Amino acid sequence: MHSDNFRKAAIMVLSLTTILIGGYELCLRYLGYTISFDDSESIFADKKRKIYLPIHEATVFTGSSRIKYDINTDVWRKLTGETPIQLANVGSSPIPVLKALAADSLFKGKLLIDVAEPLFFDMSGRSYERPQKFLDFCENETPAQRFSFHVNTFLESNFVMLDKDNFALSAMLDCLPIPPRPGKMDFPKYPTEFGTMNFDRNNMMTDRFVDGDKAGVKMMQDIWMQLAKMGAKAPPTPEHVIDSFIRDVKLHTDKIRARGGQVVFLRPPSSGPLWKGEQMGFPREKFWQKILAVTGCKGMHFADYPELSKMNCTEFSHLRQSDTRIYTQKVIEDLTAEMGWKFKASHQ
Amino acid sequence: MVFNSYTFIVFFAVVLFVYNLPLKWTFKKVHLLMASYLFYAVWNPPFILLLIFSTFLDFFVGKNLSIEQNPVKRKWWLAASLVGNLAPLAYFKYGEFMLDNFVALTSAAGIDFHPMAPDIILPVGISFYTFQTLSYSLDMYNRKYASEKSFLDFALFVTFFPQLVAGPIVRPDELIPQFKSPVKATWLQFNQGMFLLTLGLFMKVVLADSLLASSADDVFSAGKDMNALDAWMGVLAFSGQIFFDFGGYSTCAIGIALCLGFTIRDNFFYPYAAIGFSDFWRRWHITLSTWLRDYLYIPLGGNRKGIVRTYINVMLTMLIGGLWHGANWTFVVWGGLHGLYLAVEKYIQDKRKAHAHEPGPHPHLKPNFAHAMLTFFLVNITWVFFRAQDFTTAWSILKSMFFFGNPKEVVLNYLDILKVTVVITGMIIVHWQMRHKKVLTVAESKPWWSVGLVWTFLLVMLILSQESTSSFIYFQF
Repeated sequence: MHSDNFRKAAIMVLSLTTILIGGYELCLRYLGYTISFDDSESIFADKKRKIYLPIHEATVFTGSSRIKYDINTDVWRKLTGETPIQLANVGSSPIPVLKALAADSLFKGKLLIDVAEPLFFDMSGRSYERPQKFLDFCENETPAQRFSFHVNTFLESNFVMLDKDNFALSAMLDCLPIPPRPGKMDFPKYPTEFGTMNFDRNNMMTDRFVDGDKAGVKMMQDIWMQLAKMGAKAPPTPEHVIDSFIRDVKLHTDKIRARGGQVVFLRPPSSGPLWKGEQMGFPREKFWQKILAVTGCKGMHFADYPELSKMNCTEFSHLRQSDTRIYTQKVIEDLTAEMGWKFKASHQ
Repeated sequence: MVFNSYTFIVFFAVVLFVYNLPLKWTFKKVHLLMASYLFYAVWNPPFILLLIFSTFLDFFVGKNLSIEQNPVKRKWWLAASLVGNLAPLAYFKYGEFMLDNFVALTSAAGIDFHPMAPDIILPVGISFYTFQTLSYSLDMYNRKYASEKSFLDFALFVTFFPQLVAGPIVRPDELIPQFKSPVKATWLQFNQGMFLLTLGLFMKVVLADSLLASSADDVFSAGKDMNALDAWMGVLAFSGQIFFDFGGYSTCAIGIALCLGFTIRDNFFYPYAAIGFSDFWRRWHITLSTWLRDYLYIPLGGNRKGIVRTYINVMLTMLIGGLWHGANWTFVVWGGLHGLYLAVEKYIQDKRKAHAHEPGPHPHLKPNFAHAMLTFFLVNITWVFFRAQDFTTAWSILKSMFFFGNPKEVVLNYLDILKVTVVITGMIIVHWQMRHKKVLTVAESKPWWSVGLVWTFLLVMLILSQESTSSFIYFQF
């Protein structure tokens, strides 16, 4: 092949690739999909770098998916005038992040901890893996990785197709109609619009998913119930182990509070049979109230507020977008009125 | 910096732009040197000092070796290079390993010794650039060629970014002469380089990371005996993953260098089409195997000191080659197995040669696909030790592969099995079909539109896979 031929091939590659990738992007947009960021260790690290903002300029959130979905960061920013720093992780315990914040003598800010009991009190260590991996990344992030993150952010902000969980090659292969293998338990791929995420790491279910994807909602309900049943099969944790665990939590919260930081526990809503199961598996007096009593921190349980307890989580575990606005506003009001938190907006 | 990152795309675009400006050749070389230091420093800036130290040391030692006539003093200069290069390697790469073994020995002797666990970070690519600079000092000692006069050219040889952190391990006489006169890629070289870069990234990002890595990880981290199918799929997945990962890196390195107008020799040549183990090592990590041959096996005596010494030299070379890959006894066993295979192969070949002189008909052993598959099968056994984090895991996987595991324990789902089967089958077919061919030669023989279609497929798959910034396996070696 002559030089000219290779040049022709290169021009063909550029043209065809632009057409194919551009076509894929336009197709996704035509189908109504919107920009969603990947929940990578890099974006976690980007948020974690902000934890040193002064106490009146930011609030840190940690926990599992509930706080990631239910606290609407746009509403938070608008009403408080502060930066929401979302350090929660889906399917994860808040303990690794709490521990890291407690060990960091420079962190003196406000911290809101989500208590989704099955994950908060998970002592198997499985729910620690993801946050720990992300925290380790923060320690070892190289300048090259940080630069790549900024380029990636620019691209992800502009291309719908750059959504690894839904539109990458591996996600497409996961959609192949291949039956499950006997003896191997796999969760099905989550519906595309169940978990879109903005640059604040705030997840949300689109209204199209909640109102229009009955099969997807049913699938998510089944997944949560299956997880709850698996948890229920595990032998009960002895009381002295729970007490010891909560004492450890107190050590961490004490460290933060001793430096002038503020810590509040938050129990976001859940609904239907999942909420019933959680009440049975984790009675309030033995878990939620004990955390507050032992740590001396204040807490906000959705069931204590008539307007919140009426909220319905369509797939049992997370609020729909319109409800997250109401919920977030209520949380801010209560933190100000009942917990003594001061926000930047209230100073002005 | 890894090739499969946005940082590298920006970096390479800037490097190419500046490099192609109408500037003096010396300035262009300084630009490449600074770019190479930046390429290394954005991973962990302090470790650049080690690289600079190694550059100064070997340049200085080389200069003295070329003028010194006293044999004893020459030995001292060589020793200075060996110690200066191997001591950091020993500390950073083998420090923890040596301490662990020392603790195990003291414990066996009944001494209760508990040192503090050292927290040593391995400088990326240290094994590669150490071998590269060492080859210069050893060549100087053997008076293979004159010492390099230009520090700039020598420093660029040590740090040239395409192959700095994971090879190919380039020899001084292959690369330094290319720095002597202005080099600029032709359009053909540039396009071929971009084609190789796309191919290398496709191998790494799509095949290794997106399609194979998870199956290998799941099987090797299962921590239990399992179904034979799962064990085999996990091992085959790793077999493909390590080739596509490392072969992909080498292909990228060659392509990037070509875009700048430089030629770097091949590091892989369809190794899974190898017929026998001598052939395998002529196709797998070629620059390491030739390095070990030239600077270890031959100086040990090679095959010149009798049959027993030949076997010992082969085994010793492969054991050290195994240890080069990592500070763990599993790597030593991996090297030992390859040494054993090579020794057995040599024994069979020697016997066959002896029989060839006897009268009567001889079965002529023609290389065929079945022999290649036997080699591939035996290579897969060695990968178990290479990938397993400890001997317990290796033993569990081996047992499972040979139907002594737990048939009811399944690790992979059907999709994983399908992915591994398709990719590995395709890999074997391509290796066998291409076993005497070079990819650029094949591309050159095809019509432009067919090359364009294949190239587009590689690039689209690369973009769609959305797997970026994961490290290359060989960075840890």
